[in-house]
Amino acid sequence: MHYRTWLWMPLAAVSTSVYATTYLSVEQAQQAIFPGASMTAFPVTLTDEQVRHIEKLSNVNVRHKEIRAWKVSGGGWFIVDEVVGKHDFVTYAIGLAQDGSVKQIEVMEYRESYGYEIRNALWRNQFIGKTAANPLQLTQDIRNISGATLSCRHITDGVRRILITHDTAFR
Amino acid sequence: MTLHSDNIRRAQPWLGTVVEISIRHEAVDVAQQACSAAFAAVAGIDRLMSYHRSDSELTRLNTAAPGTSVKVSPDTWNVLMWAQHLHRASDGLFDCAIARRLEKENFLPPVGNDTDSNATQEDVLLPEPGIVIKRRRLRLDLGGIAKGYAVDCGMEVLQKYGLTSACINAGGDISSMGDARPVYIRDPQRASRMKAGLKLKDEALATSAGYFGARQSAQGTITALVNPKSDRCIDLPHSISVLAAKCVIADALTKVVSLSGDIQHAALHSFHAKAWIIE
Repeated sequence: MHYRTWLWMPLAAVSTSVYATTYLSVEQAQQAIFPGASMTAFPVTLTDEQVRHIEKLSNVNVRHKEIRAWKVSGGGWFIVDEVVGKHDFVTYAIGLAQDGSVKQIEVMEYRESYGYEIRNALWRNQFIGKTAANPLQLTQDIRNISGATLSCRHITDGVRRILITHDTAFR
Repeated sequence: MTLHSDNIRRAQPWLGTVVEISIRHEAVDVAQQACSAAFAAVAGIDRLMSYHRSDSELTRLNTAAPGTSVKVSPDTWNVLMWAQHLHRASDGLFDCAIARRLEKENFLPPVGNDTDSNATQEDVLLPEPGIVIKRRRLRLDLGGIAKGYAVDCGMEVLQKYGLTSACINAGGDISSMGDARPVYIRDPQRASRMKAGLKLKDEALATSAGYFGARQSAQGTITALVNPKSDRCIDLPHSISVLAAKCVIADALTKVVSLSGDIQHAALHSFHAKAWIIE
């Protein structure tokens, strides 16, 4: 059996940290979902009536009337959407096939949010003036967290909203 | 400290959470193909074992009448075999036949047909590979083991593509191959704060805690963790982490340690795993 010690974070070193990750840019997400395809920007602004219709059918609020969409050469759509969860913000890309079905979803940006903690500027100051030898270095590169499941329900709701938006405004 | 430098990092929503794959590999094209293939494998597990999908294998098994021979795919059968091993090694503390309690507490949507309140994992017979027979009316929830299994499946796919350094994180169930990657554990009192870290190399770590899934009920704070002996959802005030060779083991054993409070539980020894409680 391995002998293993945890590296405990001194409380003074890590008070609050907002975990945020950028996985893919728009171009990278386009390539990941539609490799080799070219795209034409096709931004759409929903009318109030369309918004009402989408909200009614999807049972989800439409936060932005502007849809960031691209038409894919060879058929299909690439859309960038964002959702707000209880504990996080997620920007994701969704590729739709010609028939409007989901081809692939890629998370582009993920940011956890903790309400009052984000607005607390003190968390930034802990990183100033620290040396390379300071254990704080570890926390500047937090990339992997093992800590129970954050539900992706809001992404699922967003996808449902996007599918209905496609049926409503893209056909 | 060895700083890992994964050059590919992608995430997709599967298994009710966000699954993240990180890879360090020089040939970027190969790495991207491997990554897509690994996500496809995870997606496959989701489609087979989702409680919420009406067309999943799990739903087919859950709605089958007792005594019926239900044919299942190799992956589903593997997971049920693991569940059986873990059930027996934990003296029944690990038990997937707890869907009924989760439905009653609204952690799962109600399905409809009645179940036997005394049914346990032992009532799920695996007479031969690919065949499952329920001995009683019961419904299984594989949420305590499927994520870990999916992580292992994804890692096997990456290995098939010749990758030697990668990390897969499915909602906190993590497997790291090749490089020693720092993994952080949240402070159970304050989820935005990291309380401890560990370097993970060629092994898996899973963590159970209540900070995201806890809710209030008539009995107080509860989570989606069911004690099969008392048939109650329990509170999880502390964070439990389990380190094991495979993620499916780490994932399942967090439930055993959470329910028993015992970081020396015999099941840990059976599977050569180690556990910690973080308060």
